[in-house]
Amino acid sequence: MISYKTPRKLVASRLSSFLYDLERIFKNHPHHQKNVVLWLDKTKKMDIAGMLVLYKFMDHTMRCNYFYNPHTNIEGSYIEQCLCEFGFKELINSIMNEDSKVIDKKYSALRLREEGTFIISPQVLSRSTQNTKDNLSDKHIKSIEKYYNYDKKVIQMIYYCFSEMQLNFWEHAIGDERSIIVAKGNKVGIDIACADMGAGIISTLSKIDEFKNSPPESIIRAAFNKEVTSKEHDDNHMGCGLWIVNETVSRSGGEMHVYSEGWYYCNKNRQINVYRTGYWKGTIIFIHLPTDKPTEMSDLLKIDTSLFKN
Amino acid sequence: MATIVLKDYGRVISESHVGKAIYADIESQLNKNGSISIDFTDIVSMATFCARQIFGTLYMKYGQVEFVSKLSLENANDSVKAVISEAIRYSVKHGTKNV
Repeated sequence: MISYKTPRKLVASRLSSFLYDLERIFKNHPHHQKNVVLWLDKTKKMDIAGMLVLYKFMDHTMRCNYFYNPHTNIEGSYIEQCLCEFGFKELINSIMNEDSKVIDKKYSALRLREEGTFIISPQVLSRSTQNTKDNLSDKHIKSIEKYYNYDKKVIQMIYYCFSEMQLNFWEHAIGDERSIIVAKGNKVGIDIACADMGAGIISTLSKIDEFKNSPPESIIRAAFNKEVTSKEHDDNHMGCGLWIVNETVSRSGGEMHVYSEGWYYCNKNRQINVYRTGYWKGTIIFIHLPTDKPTEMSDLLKIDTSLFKN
Repeated sequence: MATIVLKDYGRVISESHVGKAIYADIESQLNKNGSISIDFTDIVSMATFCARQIFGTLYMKYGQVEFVSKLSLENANDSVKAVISEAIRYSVKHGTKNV
């Protein structure tokens, strides 16, 4: 029997053990492997990053036919409750039982909860999906504005981070048209998580001259600096997306956890650390933004007042 | 003076094809009217990519003096102002070739 086990805590800051367990998949690319069991019952704590990784793992292995009729013990588990709350359960049922065209229709709409929490249910970031654009613009703005109507700076902080993360995944998730974004917020803060299985940060940046001979650790650290981009400078990209998100997290006292191609970047309490971790093909980004000292773009970037009338 | 109301393109300007359409609209209005105002009322955010695509390109095309005389940027919030300012700084440093 081949087993995969989720750890006791499947949260953004502690994904490493699960990623080490999963890296067999990326190394071996099995085909219709039999007697595979995914044990989910040990997990007693999970956040949206954990959910996203679990979902992407299941989605990817099913789409690639890595396993033949795999088993999970999800029924009645803590994980099942979490997946239901966020709208992942229906998606997981779909990937186990239906074809990919059906799955794409199952991405849930934004949910607002009366008990003080709002959830942006999983959204696929596909350029070809009109629903994605509609969901991420009009519906989300209205809901986020309504929820945080006491402070415009909070709304702007959330929206800039959300937009830059979304754009970053759109532009860089080469080879995976199914990046997924999910968020959960309350009056104290908001968590946003995004994951793909496309080209990761290291392989993308190592193609450009500046990083051709750099070790992976240096590349992953540099990825969050200003004006670092894998695109040509005449391509309208400014290499600011990850820098904006990282700076916003630092200044607002939040957290950022990024996993990409065997490396883990952690920004917590304004301290940056980089570690080796289990290999994940692509990138996982999780941020937590507290709302008590919101940061907006004008805190990060200087306004040239001569350009504006008022 | 003709006015382009940006919220007609959505309250979040974050996609390449939207930036391209806004740029084309601005250029078309400039050709007809010589100068225009651009109203940012209700725009929540503008991605750095789009800010460079639209305003970085226009600034590089017209230069500082003409940019300010031809384009009246009105009612932008501070975040949008900061992103446009940065996009122009970046374009001056690296140039802008494609919309």
